[in-house]
Order: sequence, then structure tokens, then C-alpha cells
Amino acid sequence: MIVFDSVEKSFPKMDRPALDALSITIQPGKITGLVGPDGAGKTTMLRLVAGLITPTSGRVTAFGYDTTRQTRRVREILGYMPQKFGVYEDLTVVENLNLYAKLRNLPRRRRRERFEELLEFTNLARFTKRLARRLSGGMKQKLALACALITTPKILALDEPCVGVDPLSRRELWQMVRSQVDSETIVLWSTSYLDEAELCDETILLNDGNLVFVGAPKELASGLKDRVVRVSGVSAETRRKYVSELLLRPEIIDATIQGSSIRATLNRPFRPQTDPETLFDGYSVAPTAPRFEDGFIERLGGATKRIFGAERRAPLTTRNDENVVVADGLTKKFGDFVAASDISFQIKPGVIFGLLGANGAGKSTTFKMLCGLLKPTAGDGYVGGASLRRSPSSARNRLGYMAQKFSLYSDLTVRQNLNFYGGVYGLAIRERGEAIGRALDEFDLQRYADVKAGTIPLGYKQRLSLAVATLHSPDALFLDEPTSGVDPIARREFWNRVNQYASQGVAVLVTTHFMDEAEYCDRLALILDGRKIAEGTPDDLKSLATSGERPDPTLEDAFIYLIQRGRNEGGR
Amino acid sequence: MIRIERLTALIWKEWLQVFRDPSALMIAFLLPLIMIFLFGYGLSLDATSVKLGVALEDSSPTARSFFNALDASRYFSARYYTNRADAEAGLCDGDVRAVLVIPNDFSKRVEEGTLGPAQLLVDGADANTALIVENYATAAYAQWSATRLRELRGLDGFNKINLETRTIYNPEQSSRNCLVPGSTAIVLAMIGTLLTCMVVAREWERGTMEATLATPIGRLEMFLGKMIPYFLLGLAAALENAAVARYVLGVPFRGSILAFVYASGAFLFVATAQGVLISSVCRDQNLASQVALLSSFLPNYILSGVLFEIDAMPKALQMITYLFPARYYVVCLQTIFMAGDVWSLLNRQIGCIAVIGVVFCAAAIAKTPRRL
Amino acid sequence: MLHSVRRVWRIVWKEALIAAGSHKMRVVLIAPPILQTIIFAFALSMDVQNVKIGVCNRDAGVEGAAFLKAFFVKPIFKEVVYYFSDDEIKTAIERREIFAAAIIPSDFSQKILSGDEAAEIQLLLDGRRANAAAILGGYVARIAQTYGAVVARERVDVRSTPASVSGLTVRRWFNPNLLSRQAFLPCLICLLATTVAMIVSALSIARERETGTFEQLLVAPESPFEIVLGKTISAVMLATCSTLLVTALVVWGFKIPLQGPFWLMFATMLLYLISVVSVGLMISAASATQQQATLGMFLFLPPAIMLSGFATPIENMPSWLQCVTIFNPVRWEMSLMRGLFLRDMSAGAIVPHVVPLVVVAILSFSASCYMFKRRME
Repeated sequence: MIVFDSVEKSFPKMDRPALDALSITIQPGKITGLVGPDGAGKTTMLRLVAGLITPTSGRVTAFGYDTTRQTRRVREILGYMPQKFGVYEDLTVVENLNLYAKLRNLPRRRRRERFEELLEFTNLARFTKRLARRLSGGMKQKLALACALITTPKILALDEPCVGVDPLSRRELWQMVRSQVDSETIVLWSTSYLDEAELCDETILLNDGNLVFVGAPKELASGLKDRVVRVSGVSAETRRKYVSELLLRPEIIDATIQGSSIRATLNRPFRPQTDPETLFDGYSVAPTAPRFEDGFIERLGGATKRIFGAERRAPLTTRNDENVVVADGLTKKFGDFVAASDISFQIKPGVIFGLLGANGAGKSTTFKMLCGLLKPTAGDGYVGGASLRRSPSSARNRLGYMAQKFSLYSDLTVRQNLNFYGGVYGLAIRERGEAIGRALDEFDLQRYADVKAGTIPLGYKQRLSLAVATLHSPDALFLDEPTSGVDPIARREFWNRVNQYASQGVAVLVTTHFMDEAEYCDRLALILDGRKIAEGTPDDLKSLATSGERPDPTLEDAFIYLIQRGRNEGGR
Repeated sequence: MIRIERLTALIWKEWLQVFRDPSALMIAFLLPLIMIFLFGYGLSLDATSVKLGVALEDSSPTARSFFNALDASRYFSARYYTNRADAEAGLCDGDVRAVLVIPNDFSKRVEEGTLGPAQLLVDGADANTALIVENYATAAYAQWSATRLRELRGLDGFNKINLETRTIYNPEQSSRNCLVPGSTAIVLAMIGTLLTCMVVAREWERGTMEATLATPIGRLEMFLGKMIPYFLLGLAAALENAAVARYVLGVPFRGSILAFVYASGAFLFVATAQGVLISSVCRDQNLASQVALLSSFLPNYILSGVLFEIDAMPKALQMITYLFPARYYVVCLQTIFMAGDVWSLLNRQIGCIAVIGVVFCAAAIAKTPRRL
Repeated sequence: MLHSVRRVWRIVWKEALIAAGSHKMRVVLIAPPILQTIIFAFALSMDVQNVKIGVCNRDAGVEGAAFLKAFFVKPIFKEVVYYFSDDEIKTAIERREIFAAAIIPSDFSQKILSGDEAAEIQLLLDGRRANAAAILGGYVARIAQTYGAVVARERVDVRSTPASVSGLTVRRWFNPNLLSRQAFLPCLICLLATTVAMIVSALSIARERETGTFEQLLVAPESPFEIVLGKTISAVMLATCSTLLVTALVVWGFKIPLQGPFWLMFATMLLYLISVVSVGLMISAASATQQQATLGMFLFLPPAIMLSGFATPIENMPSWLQCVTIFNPVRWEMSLMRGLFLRDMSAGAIVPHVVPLVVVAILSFSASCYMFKRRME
């Protein structure tokens, strides 16, 4: 077992410790999930276990070995997978395995057998000679896991192994790890996906370096029994507005859109007789089973209660009945490789359109073509009626773009960033001043206005990115995995803002790996091997996957089902 | 403490990475070639065909004979001006390196033995070339004058001293013979320090270092696993350099391969240890390359004595040169290439390099991380 | 058009803000150039000084000693070591204990006194330092010549040796004492300008590409031309500041006067910086990562500097290499700086230097725009 004995870890230049007097014992034979928002101390915990950093005070022991003084002993029984890729990209699959086998002293005679085992089980047997760089994100993570598992370690420490991995590969990774757990092994799995935390045997919930909760994931939400409801029958047009209205009511802690219905958490048990009328305006309301996420939000104080809704400053250039974004047979070839083939869809004003797909399926290629970052080989895209081929400059003027990574100038202050992009988008000086003032208020950035953008907290960075993307009142918003790495509360708030823009008539195109986020979308398109294999509302997609054994599939089930079906058809 | 298998695995991995990364390959093999060719062809301190402007105001046979003597010399390519003003303007504009003014009373002055019958104006803006031009021109005049006197009067006793200069090891005083071996030091600094520190820093950036650290690998293994591959790579580049110098550029190689490998090995020992040290401290490619540039490339370039004379530097700077191994290595290189194996000299120089190397190594091992 | 100008201006302003706000950038622009100016000012010298020389005097008479006295000139020679045999001398040179040796034969005094034939002196030089050997050889030859002439005047009838002693009158223009520092410092301004311009430009696009800000910029309505132009202007501005700093240090700190007009120096410098920055941006636009850009810099800078005529004259190179240097902007600026700083070069001579700079600037600017666009396909 691993024991943290009042461990404190502080880093220089940080105002509070990354871990604050943490005492906890982790038992073998289980998958223990480390859950928490960004900067909660998950990575710090894992690195302490691996002896990669030493505690400021207190001590960490793993199976009786002190991780500071007996580091080598600990490392002999440890399999560790860092957050950034732990495999060498310039080495092939088998070279990576060989390297780690030697570094971890796996006896020569056992290597062959072990390699075969791991290769089969990761499905990488076909790719042994391929450079790790050329593997997809999911395969890379599987390889990294195989490298960590090479000596059947007693401690397996995995730092966010599923970041950037599509649901299908995620599921396979889980199966791999599951099969490794015996009564002797400790698996530490850090994650910011809450649906993933639910799969763990035990979870440790951290926030700001403090322990919030320890126990089985079910227990976290158990206090919410009878407090979570599902509101259905709200029409698509009013749904978004209604969610923000609900959030303002004192009894409601949390409310989110889930497909065609709304999920809400109350601060008291649901009263089936009176609540539908008094609290939910007569919509049909049914209690539903609480999930881990509901518990998480409740523990961390509930969703932000405020109205997001600045008035739109400039009228839309697109008429209401026109499509704002049009992909018309978009095709992109890199040499012989077809990254995207004949992809078409339309987005009407006020619609949130989600682009889903496994890693390397071609969704970012499509996305990049639509915002003018890549020139299509064939086909064309239109934003606000302007062709990306013929008048790229005016098409780009009508869209707001938010990149996956924080991609504003870290060395400029928040205000300077806004000022720069305002200028780039051609806002005149007075207009720009007003727009910036409003953006600072609306996004609560006032107190960071003159701080360098690189140094503000992640949640604020994300707000700033959205502020920059919407500064010039675009017709369309393009969001590329906008909330990865952001904690669920900030994510809620982010989506509330996006909803606000959508209700003003802005068309939103979003790519995401989070299936709960896909639920917020009005329409979804699923991309596989460069082709669009399905399009429809979230409920449409779910109904496609409905079968006898799966009467009520989740969106993730639907995703996996559709991809597997698509692969089978492609194979045939 | 060291497990050979782990160490060889690390070394092998390092090589695979280098050979699969085009930019690393470029630093390791292409850059040395470019450097050695530049040193071989681009840098030459031997002034041949210096552009010399001649203002020939005197058209007497005496003046012509002097002019022809100059024009025939391989040191000058003469450019003819009819008057002094034009020639001087040419000097101002950098068209010629020096101007020889042969005034209209040149032949008269020569006959009468007046002091300085002709005038040489050199362009001091390039001091080194100016000095060389001056030496050549005065020598050419002295020779012309001697020949002429001998022809005219059969007189030989005008000069009481004949200086017989012999340049040993390098009779033609070819600067290429010195610069090309010297360039090996710069090339090795580049591979040993720059390549090493950039590749290691990249491991930090990509996060592979974190995964490697989490294995039961020891500090010494880590250090050697980084150092040995680039040491051997550097040695290969050094031999490549020597071969190109010898067979393509025709620089003599009078010493033995053994001595060359011995000296280069000592130098690389310092260079790679320095590279590992820099990368352990910086952990960031940009910073590491800047530090490597300032602490290895530039000193090797300026303070090694390849191009600039150490003896002519101020005392304080001379003292600093003792701290850089390049100074000793350049002596070894020039000796091995041109003079041969002078072991008493080589041993002393290599000993100095080794002392510096031990210091760097100790620092690098101490700084090699076992934790983040 | 107006919009375009405004957008370019935004980029220039942004780059300036980043540079002004970034501690690292300030350090890069100020510290290394000044430090290097100071170090180079002292280190860059090809003069031969403080030489340790060996002497083997086999002459028993006074003439040999008299010659040696005249021969030992400071600061060329620092120390004289006496030896008794050729072998000793050879070993000493071999071990680099001495750099050169003079051997005076036993009949030296006799020959000088008899006046029939010239006395011989042997000078041995260590060829491992060819340049030093050549320069020292020149010095010693001149010393011997002068001494010989003096002796000849004393012993032989003066009139019978007309013109022989007088030789050439040498005038050193622009740098009367042939000080290395005076000759090198103007070139150094050019070198440092090149390095700084390269650093601020070569990484600029690659850095944005790596941090992701580049995509954000590309989805904005800016055209590649506007982005490249904005970056060129700002990089030139930064490099100009840094270069002016170095120039000030050279002029006031090291007292090297500027002979030509300042505006002409400044104008050519500006043009030069534009062309180097364009080359830098071209490297940057071609590379995907900062590492590649750094490598590109390494592939460009050393050859460009070596083939600039900085350390050794261009005309010493083989003719094919001389042709290559035509496309080297450093060569032209180096020559301009020398000319303007030390010689007050005429305007007519400047024009042929300026043309290649303009050509390089235009070519590489268009190349960067092109590569920029190609990266999007």
C-alpha cells in the first residue's frame, strides 16, 4: 500500500502549496482515481509516489519504501506513465518496448514472451516496426501503457492517460488496465474526465491541494439521491434560455442540457407533487439516478449563478434563414493520403454543431479548412456567405476562433491582447475601446486586465480566449476542443456563455472529446477515416445505436457503436 | 552500480534518435563538412593577388620596369591609374587595397638616390591585409632595386645582411594548413556541446525524461548514457574532418591517428560533459542552445588561437583562455597535423584538457537529475 | 488600403509591446551585443606581439651582439632565450617553447667587417601558426634590411649605393598605426547587427507556430503579406535599436570616429537590416519548430560571416567562392561599414554595394510570403 503521511508540497513562486497536509492510505487490488480540476494536485501526488519530486514536509511510503530515501527500490516496482508522452517518438514500437525492458531489468529470456503478450493485448502487433511518432494518439497511449506495464509493476501510476484520446481507445485502455489489477497491485489513475472517475473502484477527489472526498465513486453522489431530476419537453428554441433561468433559482444547484432534456440538481429532495409546477413551470419532470459529476459539482459549491448575456453589438450579416457555415464537399489530400473526403454540412444561425471523431479521423482537418487554416484540395467552405477560397479575408472576418491550446500572446497583458485582436479585426479605436471595456466586464477579467496573459489562471485564460474570439461580434464561432483541461465548474460557465451567443443567432462549430459536451450540441456529425458517417441530433445518433441489449444507450455507446459499424463497412 | 545492459540500451536509443532526426544529423555531419570547407577555401590569410592601384605618373623605362616587376608578382593584381587623385579615390572607395604612387620624377630620384622615390599608400581599414601588403611591396621593391643595381653596376655589397627565413613544418606559410586543423575544435564544440545539450533538453521538453527517470536508473548510468553516444559521434566527426582535411584539402597529416584520437577524445570528454551539464541545468532547448553558443562555440572561435593571436591579447583575456580546453586542443591539432607526434608537448596539453574535463564531469554528474 | 496599413501597424505595435515587456528579449537585445563588443575589441587582433624568440649566436665578434641588440624590439618580442645548437632550437620550437629563432653564423662579424659579401642570418619560424609566421617574417626582414643599410652606410661608400637604402615611403591611410581594434570594430557593428537581426527574425514565426498564436493570427483577416511585412518592420526596428547601441559604444566608448556622414551610415544600415531580417523570416517561415529555425540560423550565420571578408579578404578566396559571396548581404555591409567608418567612401562607390542588398531583401521577402502561403496548403 501507499501511505501519504501529512505530506505538504510547495513550489517556489506559488502562493499556496500544491498539496496541503495530505494524509491518505491507498490500498492494493483496486483502481484508485485521482480526480479534481486543473491544478488540484493530481500530478504532484503521482510524482511524489514515483520519487520524481520530494515532499516539502511529511513522507510518502510505497510498500514500505520511503520514496525519498529508497527511490530506486520504489522505482523497481513502479510503472509510470507521465502526462506528456512517455514514449520516444523517434523509436519504433518494438524499440520502445526493448528500451524500457532493459531499463527496468526485465530478464532477457522473459522478454519475448512478455512483448508478445503486450503487443497482442494492445493490438499493436501489426505496427511493431512503425515509429511511435506515426501512431495515432490512442495507440501512442497504449504503447506508453505497455512500456509502463513491461515488468508487471506493483504500482502503476498513470497521469491523465486519456487526454486527447477518443472514447473508443479510452475504453480499450481501461480494459487493459483492468486486466492488470490483481490483489497485489495499486493502480493510480489521474483524470479530469468525470465519467472516467465513475469507473474507478475508489476515488480521491482533490481541490486546490486539499482532499475533498475519498471513497467509492458511488458514495460521492449518494447524498444526492432523489435530488437529481430530468426535465423533458422543453422545445429546442427555448431550452438554452430555460437552463440559465433555472440556474438562477435558489433551489437549483446545477442545470445542464442533455440531448433534448435538461438535467438539474436540487439543494433538497425533489418533491414530485409540487415541484414540477412551482419550480419547473409545468414541464414533465422525473427523478433520475445521480452521477459522479453531480456529486462533484455539489461538493465544489455548485454551478456559477449569474446571467451571461451581453447585448450583441453588431447585427448578423447573415439572414436568419440562411446557413451561416457551409461545408461543401470539402476534401483534403496530403500526397496520397486522404485526410478528408467530400465532407458537407450546413449550420444555421443559432445552432451549435458538434464535430466528433476518433483521433486522426479528419475532424481537425475539416475544422482547419473551414476556418481558413488549410486550403481544401477540392470543395469549398462558406462563412457568412463568403467563400473561403475566393474571399478568405472577408470570410475570416466573420468568424471567431478559439484554439485548443491557449494561443494568445503570453507576454502581452490581457488588455493588450484584446486591443491587438480588436485592431486586427479592424475595429476602429473608439469602437474597440468600448468593446474591450464590455468584454472585460462580461468575462470578469477586470482584475487581470493589466496582468500578462501567460500568468493568469487557466480558467481565466479560457475566458480571455473566448473574449478575443467574440470581440468583433462574428457570425460564427469556431471552438476547437475548447474545454480540455478545464474543471467542470468552469466548463459549465463556459457553455452558458456559448449558449448565450447561440441564442443571439451565432452559429457555433465545436470539436470535442467529452461526450457530455456533445450533449450540449444541437446537431452532431461523426467523422471516420476522413468521411462523414453520421449526422443528426444527439438523440438521433443514440437511436441509431439502440438495440435489444442496449435499450437506452449513452452518447458514448452510440459513438463507439457507429465507429465500429463504420469500420466494419469500410473493411468490407 | 552500473548495469551494462541498461547503459547500452540508453546509448543505442540515443543513436537511433540522432539518426532519425534530420536536424540532428545535419548538426552532426553536414555542419562539420560545411565548416571545414569554409575554413579550407573561404578563409585564407595568405594575400595572393591583392588589388593594388598603381598611379604611374612617370613613363620612363625605369618606372615601367618597376611596374612590370610588381605586375609579374603573384601577390599583386595591379590596376593602372594615370594620376594620383584617381588612385587615391579608388583607395577611399575600397576598390584597391593599396596604391603605389610612382611620381613623374621617379627615375630621377632613383638615379640620385633620394629617399623614398615611390610612395605606397595602404588602406589601414583592414589592418591585417595592410600589413601583409606592406611587407610584400617593400620586399618587391628591395628585390627590384637589388636586381637593377646588379645589372647596372655589378654591385652587390649594398646590403650587408641577407636574411634567410625558413618556416618549418609549413614552408609555404599556407594558412589553410593551420586553419583547417583548427576548425576541428570548433566543429567538435558544436557536436559535443550544442548537439548534446539540445537533444537532452528536448527530452525534458517532450516529457520522455520524466518516464525515463521513473525507471530504476542510476545517476551515473544516466550521465554516461547521455555522454558516451555523443562522445563517439564527435569522434567520428573528428575523423571525418581529418580525412577531408588530408585527402580533399591536401593538408599534411604528419602525426599518428592514435595521437589524434587521443587528443580529440580528451577534448570531446570536456565538450560532451559540458553539454550534459548545460542541458541538466537549462532543460529548455532555446536557453540551452544560447548558453552553448556563448560558453562553447564563441570561446572556441575567438579564444582558441585559431584565428586571433592569443599572445597579442590583453593579459586578463590571456588568463581566461587558459580556462577553455580549445586553446590546448588547437595546439595539439596543429602539431599533429603539421609537426607530428611531439609527445612531450601533446601530453602536457592533453593533461590540461583532462584537468578541465574532470571538473566538468564532476559538475555534470552532480547536476544529473534523479528527480524532476 | 487604409485597413491594410492599420493591420500591419497592429502587428508592428504588438511585436514592439512583446519585446518591451519580455525580460528575455531585452536581455538578448542589449547584453550580448555590448558584452561581445567589449570582448571582441580586446580579443580580435591578428597583430603579432609578445613573441618568445630563441637565439643561437655563434659569432664571437661584436657585430653579432650589436645586431641582436637592434633586433630585439618591443612589443614584438617579449623574451629571448639563448641556445647553443640547432638541435636545441629545433626541439624548443617543436615543443612550442619558442615561436621563432634567429641563428647567427660564426662568420657574421667577419663578413660585415670585410664588406665583400653580405652576412647571412637564419630565421626559423614555426609554421603551425602560418599567419603569425608570415607577419613576423616581414617584421624581421625589415629590421634586418634597415640594420644592413645602416651598416652599409657606415662601412661602405655611401654614394656607391644609391636608392638602395631608401626603399619605399609607406603611408598608412585611415589607420596610421594599423590598430586591429580600429579596423575591426566597424566590422563588428556589422557582425552584431547581423546576429541580432537574425535572432529577432528567425525565431519570430517559428515561435508563434510553436506556441499556437500563429493559428489565431491566421484565422484573422490578415493576409500573409501583411503579417510578413509587420514582422519585418518590427524586427528591423528592434535590430536597429540594438545596432545603434553598439555603434554608440564603438564611437564614444572606443573612440573610433565615424568619417562618413551619419545619415548615410544609418540609411545603409537600415537597408542591410531589412535584407537580413527578410532572410531570417524566410528561415522562420520555412521551419516548423524553433529548433529547426535555430538550425537554419546556424547554417546561415557562420558561412555568411566567414564569406564576408571580415577575417580574411574576399579576393583570397577561389573565384567560384567569390561568386557565391555576391549573394551574401554581410559582405556588402561589411565593406560599407569599413568604407563609411574609416574611409569616407564616396556616394558613387556605395551604389554597387546597395544593389545586392536590395535584391536579397526583395527575393527573400517574396520567398517568405510564398512559404507562408504554402504552409497553409
